Amino acid sequence: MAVSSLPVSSSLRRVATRLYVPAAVGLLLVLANKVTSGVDFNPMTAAQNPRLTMSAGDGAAQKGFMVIRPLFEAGSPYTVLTTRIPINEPGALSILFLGNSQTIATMDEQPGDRFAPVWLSDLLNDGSQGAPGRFVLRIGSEPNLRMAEMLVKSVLACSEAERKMDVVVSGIVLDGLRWVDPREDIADVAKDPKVRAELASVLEETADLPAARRVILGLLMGDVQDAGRPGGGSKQADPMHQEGPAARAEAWLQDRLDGSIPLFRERRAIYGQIFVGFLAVRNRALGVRTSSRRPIPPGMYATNMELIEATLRYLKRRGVHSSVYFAPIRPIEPNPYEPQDIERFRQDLLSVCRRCGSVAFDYSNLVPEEMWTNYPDANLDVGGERDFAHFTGRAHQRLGTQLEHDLRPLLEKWLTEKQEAHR
Amino acid sequence: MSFQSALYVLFLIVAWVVCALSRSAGVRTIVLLVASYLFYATWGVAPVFVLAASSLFNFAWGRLLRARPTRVVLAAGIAVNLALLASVRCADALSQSLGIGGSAAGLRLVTALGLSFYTFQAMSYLIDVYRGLDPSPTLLEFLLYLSFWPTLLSGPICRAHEMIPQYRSVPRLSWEDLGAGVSRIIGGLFMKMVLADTLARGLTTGEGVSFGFDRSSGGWSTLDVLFLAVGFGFQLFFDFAGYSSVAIGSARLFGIRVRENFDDPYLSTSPTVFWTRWHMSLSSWIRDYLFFPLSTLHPGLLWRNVSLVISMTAFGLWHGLSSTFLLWGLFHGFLLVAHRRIQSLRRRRPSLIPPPYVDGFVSWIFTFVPITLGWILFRAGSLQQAGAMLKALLAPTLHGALSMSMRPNFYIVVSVVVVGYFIYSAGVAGVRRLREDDLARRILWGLSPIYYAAAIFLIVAWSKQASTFVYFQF
Repeated sequence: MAVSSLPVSSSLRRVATRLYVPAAVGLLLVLANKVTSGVDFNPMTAAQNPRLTMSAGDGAAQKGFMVIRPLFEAGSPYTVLTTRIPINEPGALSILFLGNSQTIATMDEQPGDRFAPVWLSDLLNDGSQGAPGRFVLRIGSEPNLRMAEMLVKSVLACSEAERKMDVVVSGIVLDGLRWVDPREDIADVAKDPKVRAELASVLEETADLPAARRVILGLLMGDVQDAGRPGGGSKQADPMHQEGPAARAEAWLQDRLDGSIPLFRERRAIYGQIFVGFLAVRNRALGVRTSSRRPIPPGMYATNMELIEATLRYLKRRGVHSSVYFAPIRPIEPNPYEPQDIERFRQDLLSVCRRCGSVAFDYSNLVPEEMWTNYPDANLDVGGERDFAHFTGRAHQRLGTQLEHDLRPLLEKWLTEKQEAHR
Repeated sequence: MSFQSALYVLFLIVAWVVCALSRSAGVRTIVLLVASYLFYATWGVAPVFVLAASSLFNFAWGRLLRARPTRVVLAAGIAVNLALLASVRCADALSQSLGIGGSAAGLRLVTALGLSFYTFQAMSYLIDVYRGLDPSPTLLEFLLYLSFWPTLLSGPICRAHEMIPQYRSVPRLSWEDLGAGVSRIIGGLFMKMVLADTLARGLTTGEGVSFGFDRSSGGWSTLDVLFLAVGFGFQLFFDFAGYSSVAIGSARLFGIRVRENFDDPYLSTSPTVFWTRWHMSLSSWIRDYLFFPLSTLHPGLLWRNVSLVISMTAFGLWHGLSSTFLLWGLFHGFLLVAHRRIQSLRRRRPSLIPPPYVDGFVSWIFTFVPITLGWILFRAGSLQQAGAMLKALLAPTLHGALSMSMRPNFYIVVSVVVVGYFIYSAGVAGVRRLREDDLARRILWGLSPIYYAAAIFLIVAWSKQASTFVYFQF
């Protein structure tokens, strides 16, 4: 019997026809929701080397090393804590240590391994391992730290008079000059009124650094994800930045959606997964490997050098001592860094530091090849490939020891000056 | 409340249900009017007062014009509207040049939200009354005409004689309207939130068109400028066409048909055709209310061409009182004049016309390239920036022409989106032909839920990356 001759009323058929598309869409979305609820994807760690451990190591979390903002939730495997910068003590020198994940992650972690800044602190305080000493170190490192984020953290470290840091030590990885805009949660720090006021003061002294000014203006306007308005550079406020009942209602609705529908709750993770998938396809299609050359785009480079200069100028103006080091590069070819990019950065960094009264160190050749490792062979996309970003515990010790050797004379001098100023 | 917010979906549902319960056109008009003002009020109280004042003035002036249809009365009405628009634009331009920003700029922008669009609607109403095309709206109908929320903030710019009769028709919310409306909304949000925003911001920060124009410290190569110009052209298209699609879809939910604003403009084979396909509601407004009256003041080709240039310059300045918008408008004016000259030459010398299959492609290239170049003027932050970018494009250095100053993902994303758009357009044309076949039509209909579900899935995944509609600032 043909379907068309079944005793189905035409009105029923009409209803079924009308409901088919919305019902089928609904069903597909329910299915997507079910699949999404099982998503276990952390955008922060998705492409991370499984051999990497991003934790304070050896109980350093319990030693009182504190960072300025949460990298991960307290109690998570990534046990870096969050607390407010403590009040600056007259008898001690407070040091803010900034770097990227190279400074807070260890490859093939072994018992007794510590991060480079932890080594630095322990050695400075004569092996006191975290007990209150003459040098109080705070870690403000961030995975993939960008120069705009370095600026924000430096400004944060100076924004409250009684908690102002005495010294900022920054390790700059050349790879960090590949991005510009700060990530949203760090840019949110710029909403603090004191931080905003400080950033506005940075704006005033950077008339000769137009690219840095554009980034700082973006920070001040909360414009880190701008839509590219025609007539770019406009100072118009974002009309999406609404306040009032509608915005509150929207926030409430978004919370409800996040709380009740996995598809909404996991949307960042889904986006991250799509992005990582795109990168995997791109790399496979174009034959991109971890060792493939990655020139630093000139526009990015120039903007970031201006941001470094803006940061160092600001610290100098605020009476904060600064030191910058060129972070270790894996000494093997093929290498993602262009030799001319390395040399250019070396020269430019020295030049900027000289201009801004900052002390510069070149540790680009500090860590030998045997202290670096590779991705596991079993890794689907980058199996067996070299990891150019992170090194082992022995390298952390080497870096920390070198930093202590180079910085101690300066830190002792600055501490003495501080104590004399307080008498 | 933005079109891309969850609150807007809730708002639409509530408004639709209330409208569905309305039995008469009058009640429905009141419901839509209240909804429109509530929608606008979510942006602040000041804009509501400006809108209400403008609506009341134009309604009263329309009545006066009906009673005394003289040029003087018309000119006075137009002048008041232009004065309102110009005062906000001038204040904006002045504050930008003086570096006044922050909350003052925000207040001004919010007050001006939608001003360009509803002011042009108001002026078209006055001119139509003068010309005798007067639908004689009641006060409520006129208030709704100017404030109708789907088109209030960024168009499409409607005409009173198209909208008022629809408000008067007996409300009959149909499945067809519901389906078409939802489909347009989903498509519009996908264009805006997934395509436009990805082009603007990149897949991750520092990889989008915005970075290339606003954050980069210059030093663009020929390749960079080409990709930035094409990327921005498509970003603007997806953003604005997406917004328009949501607006049209929202209106359609209530059985109200609003004029289209885009019709595959990048498939145009001449600048003239382009302007019948891009921001159609504004370009037709300029044609009907500026170009035609101007061009008929004097006979002759020269005056006609001058009128064209003046009209397009006004088009540019509508976007903002800046030198770059002025130059952009002038550029398009001269482009249209040049096209007319070439058309005239082709008519006189048909031997110059290549074979059809070549002619089509060549015409498309000679349309797409200058349109794309024009976007540099439209988007650049200053004349200096526009000059530097055009120089990199038109006078490349031997060494740096093909160097890439942006991250590789930028070039990949622009290429994929642009090529994808042309493939999609070809696919749509193919689907249209397939729909003539009954079996093929059923199969396509059967598979359509996959398309909608995938679009919604991606819209949700991209939603935490939301950004402003570009045309909000006009």
